Amino acid sequence: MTDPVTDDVLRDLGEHLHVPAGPDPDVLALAVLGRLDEVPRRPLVVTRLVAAVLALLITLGVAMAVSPRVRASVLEFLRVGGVELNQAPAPPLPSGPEPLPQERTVSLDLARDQVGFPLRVPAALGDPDAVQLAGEPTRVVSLIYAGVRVDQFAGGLDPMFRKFLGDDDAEPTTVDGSPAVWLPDPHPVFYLDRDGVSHEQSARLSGSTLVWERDDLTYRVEGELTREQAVAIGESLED
Amino acid sequence: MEPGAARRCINGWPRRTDTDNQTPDHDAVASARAGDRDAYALLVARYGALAHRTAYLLGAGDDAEDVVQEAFVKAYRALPTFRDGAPFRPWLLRIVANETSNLHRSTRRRRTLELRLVEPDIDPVVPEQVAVSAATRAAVLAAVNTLPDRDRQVLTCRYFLDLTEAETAEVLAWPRGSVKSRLSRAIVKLRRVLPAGLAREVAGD
Repeated sequence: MTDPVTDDVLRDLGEHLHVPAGPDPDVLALAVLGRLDEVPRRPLVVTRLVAAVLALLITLGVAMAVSPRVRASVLEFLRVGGVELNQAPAPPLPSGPEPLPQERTVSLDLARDQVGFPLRVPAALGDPDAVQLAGEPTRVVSLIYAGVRVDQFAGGLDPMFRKFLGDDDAEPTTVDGSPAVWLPDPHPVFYLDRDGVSHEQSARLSGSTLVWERDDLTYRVEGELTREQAVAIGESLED
Repeated sequence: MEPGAARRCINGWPRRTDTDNQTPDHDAVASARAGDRDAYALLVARYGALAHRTAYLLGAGDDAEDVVQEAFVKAYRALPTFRDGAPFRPWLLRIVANETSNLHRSTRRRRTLELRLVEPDIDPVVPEQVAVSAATRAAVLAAVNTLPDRDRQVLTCRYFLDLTEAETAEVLAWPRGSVKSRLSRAIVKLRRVLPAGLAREVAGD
């Protein structure tokens, strides 16, 4: 399939392309070192929602028994496990979103083998119609049911999804005693890669969603559901 | 080692292969993750020129220096997410590529950099290598410049940066299959755009 002459011609072209002299390597290294302590810019905060969730955390007594790093990120913008919520205007959504990076459909058994955490299936829904994995190595598992999608992923320190919310569309709740957020309205959701960069191509409009974190895993239940139904599905998850 | 490193010597890229190749990338990355900033400085110096070339050719143009600096700062912050034992080069270049497209987003315009040839266009490669005529080169470049962004991105990674297919997939964050298909379609388009006589040469007829 390789066409050697084409390869040669194109490589030769690459060797003859004009590229301006870059920065001196040592000067660049110094400049970079000088910036490592800068505080990274963060997206706008959903202040009221943060306040509400902090209040909830405190009520639940789990308040700030978390690492300073996690605590800092909670205060900067709202994070529920691997999901980042913010109020900035969303970038435009693509008309036909592409699948998540490295998305593939597998059997439930294969999914159990491939993920580095115990996969939980909601007893309320039974075995899924399809199971999708995304990321290589696998970062997200999605159980697909008619009209409902249950995502789970190891979302520790780095967010994996970024949601854009309006003013009033987030309500704190709980799933099995874990703090959760219910997002009743459709909202844009973006996949963040390992560098924290969002993937416009696979951005889409998410339906109503329940998000919570338990045992360092983040869960997302999305679908045409009421909050009570979503919580019931969440509470029915079992290994 | 980078494949093809020995034969590349244009535009000062890559540099410093002589002085800093004692520490393998994964050792430097491990030290940098543990907070050793000198180790990170070594990686910056080692990959600065390649990162700059990548940013420039992927369309950062005059902003390439800023892009590279920003990318190295972000890469440092992202080091905790770096997978142990993974190759550093494509991981870094992916951040560079991301930063380059962020640049386009933030300036609100879809800027396509017009690539051009070095001047004077002399052959710096060793004589026994297949010579490609300056006319062919110019024609192929003109054809490349007419292609849509995504075609140019994949050609740039594969040929102008000499990345493998797997590295290209990682840098562009595309599935492997998309790299393959986009690349072959881009080459078909190139042949179509080229004047007939040159197209035969590119096709190897």
